[in-house]
Amino acid sequence: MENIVKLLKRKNVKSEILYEKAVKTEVKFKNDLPYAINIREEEGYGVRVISNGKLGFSSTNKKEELKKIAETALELSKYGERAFFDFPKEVLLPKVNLYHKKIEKVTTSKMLEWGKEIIAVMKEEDPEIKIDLDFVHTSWRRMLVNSRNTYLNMKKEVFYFGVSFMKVTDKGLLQSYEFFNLTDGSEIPTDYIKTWISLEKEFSEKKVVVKDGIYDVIFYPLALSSVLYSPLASGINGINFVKKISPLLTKENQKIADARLSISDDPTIPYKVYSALWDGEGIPHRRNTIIERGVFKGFIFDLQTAGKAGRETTGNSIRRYSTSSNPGTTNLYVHPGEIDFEKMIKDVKKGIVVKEVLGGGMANSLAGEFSVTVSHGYLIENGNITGRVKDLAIAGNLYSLFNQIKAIGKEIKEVPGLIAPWICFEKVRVTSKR
Amino acid sequence: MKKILEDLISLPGITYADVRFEEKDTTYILFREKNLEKVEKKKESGGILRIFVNGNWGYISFNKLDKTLKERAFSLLKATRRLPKQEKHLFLLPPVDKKVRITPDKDPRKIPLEEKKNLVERYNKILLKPEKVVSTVSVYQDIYIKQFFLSSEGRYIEEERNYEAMALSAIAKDGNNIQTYSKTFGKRKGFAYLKNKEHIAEEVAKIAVDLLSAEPIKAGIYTVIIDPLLAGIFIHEAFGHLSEGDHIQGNEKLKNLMHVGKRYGVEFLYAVDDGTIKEERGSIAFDEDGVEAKKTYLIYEGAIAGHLNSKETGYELCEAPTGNARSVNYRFPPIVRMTNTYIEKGPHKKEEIFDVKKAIYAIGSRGGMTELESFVFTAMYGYIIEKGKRKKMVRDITLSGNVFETLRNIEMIGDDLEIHGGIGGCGKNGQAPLPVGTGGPHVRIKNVVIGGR
Repeated sequence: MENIVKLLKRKNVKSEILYEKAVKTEVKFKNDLPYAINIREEEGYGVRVISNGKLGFSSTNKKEELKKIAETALELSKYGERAFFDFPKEVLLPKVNLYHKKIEKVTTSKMLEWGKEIIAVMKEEDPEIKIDLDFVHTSWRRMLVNSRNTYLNMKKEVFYFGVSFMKVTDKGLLQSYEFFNLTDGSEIPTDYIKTWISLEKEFSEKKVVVKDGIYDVIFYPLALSSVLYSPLASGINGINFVKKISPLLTKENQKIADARLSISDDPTIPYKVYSALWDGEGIPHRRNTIIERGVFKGFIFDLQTAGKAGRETTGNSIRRYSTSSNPGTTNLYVHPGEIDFEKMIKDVKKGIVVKEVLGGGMANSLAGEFSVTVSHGYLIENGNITGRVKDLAIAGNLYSLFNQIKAIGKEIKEVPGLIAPWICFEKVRVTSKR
Repeated sequence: MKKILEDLISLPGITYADVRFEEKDTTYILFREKNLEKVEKKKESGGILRIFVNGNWGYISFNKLDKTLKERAFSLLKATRRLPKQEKHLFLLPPVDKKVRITPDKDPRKIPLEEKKNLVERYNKILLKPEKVVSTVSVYQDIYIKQFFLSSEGRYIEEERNYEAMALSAIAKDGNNIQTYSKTFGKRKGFAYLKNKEHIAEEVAKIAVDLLSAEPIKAGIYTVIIDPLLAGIFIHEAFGHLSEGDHIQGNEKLKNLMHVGKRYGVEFLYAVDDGTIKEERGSIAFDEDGVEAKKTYLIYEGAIAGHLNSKETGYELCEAPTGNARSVNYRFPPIVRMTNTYIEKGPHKKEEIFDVKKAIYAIGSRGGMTELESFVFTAMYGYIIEKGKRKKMVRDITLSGNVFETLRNIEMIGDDLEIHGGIGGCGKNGQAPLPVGTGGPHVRIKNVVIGGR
């Protein structure tokens, strides 16, 4: 890698090579039984060049083709976009615990054993459910070399599982999903799983029909991800700032949300799925405040978009070896509040708990709009959950919702890319089929 | 190549094994506003080995076909043997030896980069014309793939595939009102098919601007006329996925719902999945199970007529593989997927369909999702139809409901079939985007729930 960079330097070409190798091991269970072992290895090189002030990029899986694709990148730079940056010098990196040593030793037989245990625990709570479960262990290596003598190396492992169950009753189909990140070396959260299944069982005995109207709506983090993630991620994206089409364009340092709401993009939280030491361009990662007590603090950039915007990169270059850079979010962190879930429900006279949704990201998400169907949720009447609901449509605008916050929960939950508490919004229009 | 692959799959005590290796060349060009933002050429190669032992699957995907691979295949075999034995079998097929080549005029690698760039640039300029268009994204993508497949049944296939497609999108802005509209097109007809599409660029720019003055639709229950594009998305998303054998397998409720012969719609409703149509985006010669593509009726005269199967689900459901085991790339094992899915032509003239007191004409799709029988998808835009006349434009049309009820509510099917393809494609179990074709005629459906504010 260094040789190619040197070679290009002699031709007066600035360059950067990103190498990645990932080994992803999955153990899958389907309908309560072990189903497959899947090992995915992937390795490749991406070469970016800046020649005559213009960008070129190409990639390959083959080391022996590295020189060839460096030439392709150089050739493509003739058509390339003007570079608004130079590759960075090496600087001090943050200290982040990316993974617990323990997970290096996770084997497929261990995953099989745990999977059987989890399924047994779930079946004990409710024998009628059918369970799918996926363990995923990824071991990831990344190296970056550039023409300003940067030489970076990072090793990361991630270990998590997703589990869903399905139950067919005469009242229709019930499906529910949970995600658990075990990268920090924690044990399988058996008690949490037990509670989850027994609550779902209890609450879903009765299916209720909901009338159209205005409700308090409590989003579970998983469902929140569908309404919040896509609009916010595009709203704060440096690309949309440069294009002047973000609805947040003129809103920096202005209040856009309820004062209880704070959101940051933070790749430095230990053990999270998208935590890392440096971004796709070798910029040290840091926490970027997006919303602080309701005030919008700023956009996220990579080098090129920052250059265009006349700003500094925020270390948000998201890329693989096979793609050139784009700004993107890492772990979006919605700061927790102070209310526990039970209290949140007690305070609702007429509301919906939204556990899972279909859709999201399909409406005009850049403008903050979302439109989802509640595929799994519960009705709240006078502070009590009174039955299960399905097929309700909720559409609205995220930026309006930001000012309709009734309560923010204190327990947080991680789904890949979003760490958030339960949030209750008030005065939300809900449309039903009946 | 055959020799290397043969060596790799000769493993002791397996029921079945196959290996696939692909070499891929991609060109990607992106214009944003006036600027050529991305020109990328990539080479990619890799493969996947699948073994089936004691009723369980083991997979390993790799980039290099080197000597260490055989060792890793043995350790995979060891790990897979540890899974508890299952009563699962595969539908095996007789040996075959086939080479499927594309004609040179379909090979995107033969077209100079300059020519590709100029074409996107031309369309992009058209998008930029209206004053209110503040941003555009115009993308060109071509892919050339050569795939090698060998299974322990003795099926050896070499297949070349070509894909060329474009996506044009415009963002219009008026004060705080921002609207986007985009259209994608592309089949397997070679680069030439993408030429002379100026009218599409004009349409994209115009609709984006028009959407600025469109009102969000009021939530409610409507009679809806869906255009061929949306009809295609509907039949693919809402119904097609339920026909996939891996969904039916082990799900008694769905098995019952999707039982062959069960009637859901009018007798002039026919829905098809057909991988054999010439040069459509979802067309293939063989799937990634090494099975020949087929035409499968999913609905015939309004009743369930068939399902889509892999070697695994075909055996399980006592049916046969239908050439629908597909994977997005060498990193993934194949799963049951669609190819080109569409509603066949019906008996009604377009005028008859629009001859209605009140309806919503829903056009195009911003995407869709399903969860078994529930579906939700959003149209690009639409119009209110009153007494057969097209009235004001509306936006934010999110249609949702139960697919079986919706099929029953179909009133009319037009005689104007169109099949679409383009950049992007179908996503399932983390595998996206898979090139597919979707289509249909204009279809009129009553009692459709539209969400909104």
